[in-house]
Amino acid sequence: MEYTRRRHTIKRDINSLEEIYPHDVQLYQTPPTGEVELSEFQELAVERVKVLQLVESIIARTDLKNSEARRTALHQDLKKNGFTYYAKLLNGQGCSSHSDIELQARRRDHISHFILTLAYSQNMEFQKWFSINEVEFFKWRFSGLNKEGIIKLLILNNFNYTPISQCEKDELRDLLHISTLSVNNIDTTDFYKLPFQNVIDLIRSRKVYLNKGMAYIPQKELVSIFVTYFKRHLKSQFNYASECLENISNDMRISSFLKNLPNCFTGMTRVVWSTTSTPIEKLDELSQSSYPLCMRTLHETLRTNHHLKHSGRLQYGLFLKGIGISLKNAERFWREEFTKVMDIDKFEKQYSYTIRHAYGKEGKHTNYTPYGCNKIINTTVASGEYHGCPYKHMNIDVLRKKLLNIGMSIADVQEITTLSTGGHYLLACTKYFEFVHKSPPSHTFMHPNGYFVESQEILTNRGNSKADVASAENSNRLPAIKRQKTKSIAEEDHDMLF
Amino acid sequence: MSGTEQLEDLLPIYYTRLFPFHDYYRWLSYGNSDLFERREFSFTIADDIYIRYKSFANSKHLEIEIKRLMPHKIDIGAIYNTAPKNEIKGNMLIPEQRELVFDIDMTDYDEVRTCCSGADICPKCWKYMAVACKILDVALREDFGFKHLLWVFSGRRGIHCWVCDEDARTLDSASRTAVAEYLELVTGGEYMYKKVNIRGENMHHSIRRAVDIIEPLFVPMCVIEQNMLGTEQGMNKFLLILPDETTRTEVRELFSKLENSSDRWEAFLKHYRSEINSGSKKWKRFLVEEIMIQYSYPRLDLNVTKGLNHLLKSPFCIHPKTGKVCVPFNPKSVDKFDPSTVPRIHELIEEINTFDAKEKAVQEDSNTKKIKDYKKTSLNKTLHIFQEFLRGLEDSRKGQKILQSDKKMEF
Ligand code: SF4
Ligand SMILES: [Zn+2]
Repeated sequence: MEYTRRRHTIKRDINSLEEIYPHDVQLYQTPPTGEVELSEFQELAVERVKVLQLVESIIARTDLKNSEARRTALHQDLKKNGFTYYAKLLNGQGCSSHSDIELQARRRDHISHFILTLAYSQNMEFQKWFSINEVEFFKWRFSGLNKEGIIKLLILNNFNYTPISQCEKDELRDLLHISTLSVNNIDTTDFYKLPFQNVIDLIRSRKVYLNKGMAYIPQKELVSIFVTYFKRHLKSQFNYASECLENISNDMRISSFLKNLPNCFTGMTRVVWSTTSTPIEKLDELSQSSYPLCMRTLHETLRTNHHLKHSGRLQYGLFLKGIGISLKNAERFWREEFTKVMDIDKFEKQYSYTIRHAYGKEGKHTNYTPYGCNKIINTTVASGEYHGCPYKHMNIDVLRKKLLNIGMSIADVQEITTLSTGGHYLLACTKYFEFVHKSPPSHTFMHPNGYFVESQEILTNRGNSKADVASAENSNRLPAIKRQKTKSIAEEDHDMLF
Repeated sequence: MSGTEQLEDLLPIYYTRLFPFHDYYRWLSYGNSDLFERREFSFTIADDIYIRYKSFANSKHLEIEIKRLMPHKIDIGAIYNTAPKNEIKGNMLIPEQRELVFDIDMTDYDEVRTCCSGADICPKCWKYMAVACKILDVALREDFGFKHLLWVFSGRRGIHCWVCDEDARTLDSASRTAVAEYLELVTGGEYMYKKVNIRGENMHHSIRRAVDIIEPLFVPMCVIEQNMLGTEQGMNKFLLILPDETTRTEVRELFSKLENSSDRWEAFLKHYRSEINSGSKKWKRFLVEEIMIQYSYPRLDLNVTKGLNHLLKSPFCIHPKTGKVCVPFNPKSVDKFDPSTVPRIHELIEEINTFDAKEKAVQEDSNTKKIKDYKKTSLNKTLHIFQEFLRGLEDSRKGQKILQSDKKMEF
């Protein structure tokens, strides 16, 4: 993809646009050609960032029960904010009409996607943020396609899959019936047979029949082919894009625009780094006053068992990093606890590496970011492990007992357990916050470190006002923590190595 | 082992006379020396010094280096874009290929086994490994179509599976994760009592097949031998899996009238079935299957499977604590596999010595050919298993070549 600054726009006629953009949905296989003015370049980029922010906020809404509801909500938001082109795209059926505005929308979609790939290729966290929201946006758009639109999309992208024959279907009837999760009547739907690597979402959730490496997927799950492909494609695009980004760095205007673009967004899922350091002696106290329940649980388990398994160490260790525990102190903290049940030698050999790794001091030197609620909620927890989000991963009876022990009233506990069984983990967490602080957080958070900062803000303010009235009580407060606009989310597994 | 300190003395003999370098290379080169060259090995040598990113141009170099360093442990990593030794910083190394690997460790069964805990194993709990092996082996072959599976005893309390088909080796990490999650049924941490949930109206064929494997073993193995419901503690654990307080009280009642584990299990089954038949909404379909799975289905260490660059202990290593060889075994006869009879390094070396002593006695009158050292030992049997696996790999490579040349002929 070449970007030039020359003022030279090619007036394309509608016909050629229709050739380039025959469909409402695209997989962005080829970069745009031709020239774009700097002002349009910037306009398109900013527009897409804002659209993706809307997508992000829709994903976070727990009141929307299914993807249809989310799509409708996004459509409303897009219209309300004046993103007519994207509202159009979202509702596109595929290839049933090619009006001027539709073609313009597809062009904007194409160009802006590529600009953002460049801008967000800078680091892992930007990439994650971009991928998650792009993929979700893609899914909702796909779900609006009609049958013709889907088939055309398969053809356009050279996915040469044809439905299995009636004869093959008859042979497999029983197996298809028991192993296809979402279809009741297999006679009225077409099945496609393809390598399992092409539909990994369906495999991991055991949603389809699988035999000899081939997945048999019903018509309505075709989206999985595209999503699987799209995710892989994004990944390889990023590799290429980050090289390009280096190469255009001689054009200051474009490169500084691209480099700063991801920083302009604000999102609740972002880690809020603590700018002051926290002493480890304070952790017991903080775990009660300012930790969300997920971290409090890990902290308490560590104190009683003097051990945490790998994923627990990671979830808690990164959180500690985020609240301002230095590497040196982190090492001391874990060492003191672990060496109660093992000798120092074993600790140094087996565990200290992971801690330094989390701080980017070993291995790939990646600077790992504390996990956000989404990642924690979607994590898998095996037996012997205590990490995860208690509102999701704790048995209701255990959760209830735990909350009662903390001193919550039966009514409050009831409210939280209802929220968590209904899947509203974040609301449950906010409720817990409210109980602990006797007031709700002033900003919504979607991150344990966000919770922590909210809590500290409240406690510090309280401490201040107490100090004003010269209260004799020692408030033991920590220095204020400033919000910082640097890092963003760390959602999926970018830490396979761990 | 009678003295781990012996290890240092025995390893030189083991690596010189027994370690199957030739077949090892046949395996890891996959008919292409370039693949071998770009493979990461890592060694743990004396004093627990750990060396990563070693790689070797060929089998001879590997052999020389192993004999020089005498590793207590050898791990096998990924095949990288370039030979790892050339790129020690680790930054430019991109893993390109890797066997799809599974690691099952007895310690992950501590919540269900009662005979032992931690690092200990006995014939009773080893049965969990046999079940795991059977379930995974058939799933990997039938569902995923893989053919070249190398099953290895990890030397102490677990088993590994190396899936070596080219299709498996070239999977990206997202696909590996999908395979691992497809095979994982028992989920939920220390705070979740019911760890298996079968969704939907029907049972996925892979779950059905696993249940069919478990079902005949469940009563003898879990209910009787592990005494699942025989103790207060066992019953309490079990009751927590049930849907709610009412059902728990019902079953607690039942249990209190009975004496032993199998009577209680029987009573529970009868109660559950009659409730379901009478259309009771309190009880969930597939609960019995879910319970059986929870108590016996394989526990996988997913992190080992998901990534390409995870290191895994090599077959034919000596386990430094037990002195046992990490031997391949045949999944078809996993029931007969007994970890306590796995050869230990000092036994093997004694076997060679005894053999040689006898040989010397008869050598005078017959000019016998020189016999390979491993053939003098109990390692012989496992090497046969390994070689059979290698023949399988080589045959399918030949098959592919013929296919390819057939295609060319058409033009
Ligand atoms: S909602 Fe987020 S912060 Fe709250 S407990 Fe769950 S993971 Fe932790
Ligand atoms: Zn045992």
